[in-house]
Amino acid sequence: MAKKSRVEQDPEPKPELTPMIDIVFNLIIFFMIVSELSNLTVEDLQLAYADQAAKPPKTAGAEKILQINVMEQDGLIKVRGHAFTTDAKLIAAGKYDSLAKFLGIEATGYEREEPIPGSPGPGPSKMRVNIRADKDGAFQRVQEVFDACMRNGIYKTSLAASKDDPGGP
Amino acid sequence: MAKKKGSRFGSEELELDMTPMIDIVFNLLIFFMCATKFRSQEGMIEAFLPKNRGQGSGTPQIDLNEVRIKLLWYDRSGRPTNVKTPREGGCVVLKIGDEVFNSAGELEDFTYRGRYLPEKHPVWRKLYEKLVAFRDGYSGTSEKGLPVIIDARKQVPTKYVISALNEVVRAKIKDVTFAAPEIPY
Repeated sequence: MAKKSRVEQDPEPKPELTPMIDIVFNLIIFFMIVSELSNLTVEDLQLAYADQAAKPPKTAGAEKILQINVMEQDGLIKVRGHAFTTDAKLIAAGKYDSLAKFLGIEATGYEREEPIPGSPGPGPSKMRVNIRADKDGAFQRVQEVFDACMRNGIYKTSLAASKDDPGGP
Repeated sequence: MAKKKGSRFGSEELELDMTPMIDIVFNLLIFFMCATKFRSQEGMIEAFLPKNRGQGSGTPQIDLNEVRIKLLWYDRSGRPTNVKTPREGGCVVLKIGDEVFNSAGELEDFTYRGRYLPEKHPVWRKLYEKLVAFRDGYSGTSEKGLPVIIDARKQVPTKYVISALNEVVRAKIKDVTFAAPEIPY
């Protein structure tokens, strides 16, 4: 009888939230790490320093900037984790896809500006491209990307740069 | 969680259980550690390509007032070379028109706080001042103001091109383009 009366006197059980918060935080951390690893649009490169470099504009949908990574080690160009090349021999051998061809397909998804007077072709593309190149790599590699862009009427280009001063503050 | 503790005098004292709070604090710590990006702060410099080039385009228009920044590739004796890297003796020489901004090897040998940092060479400041003078003296009709073209040889390391572009942006010049690769030097 005494035992029963004690049970009756106990307050209502309250849910213990701490383990749930623990699990939620652990899940957040897990998904953050997983998403970071799957972020293939930006390759690990040593960028050149430029204090005037601006933050990328917040664009959405079709106006999103295409990141082109010019790799120094293997001589390839990576876009969204896929390797492309500008080397005609490698394209002919079927080893890698052509960057110019890829950009041509990508550009079809973007609007075009009014044709330039005197030019028979379509107007320039509104597609934006950001070129990320290794600071010690030859500019020729960037020029090859420029060339592929120009062939497809893409002129809105930018170069990625690091804002961290190599000489320190 | 607070625990009730009976006292000798009949009143109740509260004792705080710190363990769950420490759990959460540790989790928050791990969360913010992971959320912090250790990558260098990245930005971008816009430099549009010539609009009137490429597929199906006509003859490019030439503005007589345009400024062409040339990044030439010389050997240590100051002659054009075909070597591929600075390690093989290639040097960058900056030029606008007939004005030469640095001698061959000057940038490559420049040290700043004990490190090889050509990005910190005074030549970039000199280039900026020159560009500002050109910008202020521009008498052309272009709405965007002084047109600047960066014309770099294919062997020039990208960091020099970015440094030149950085000074163009610092000089608040809006119309900056890169010379098309096929243009002869």
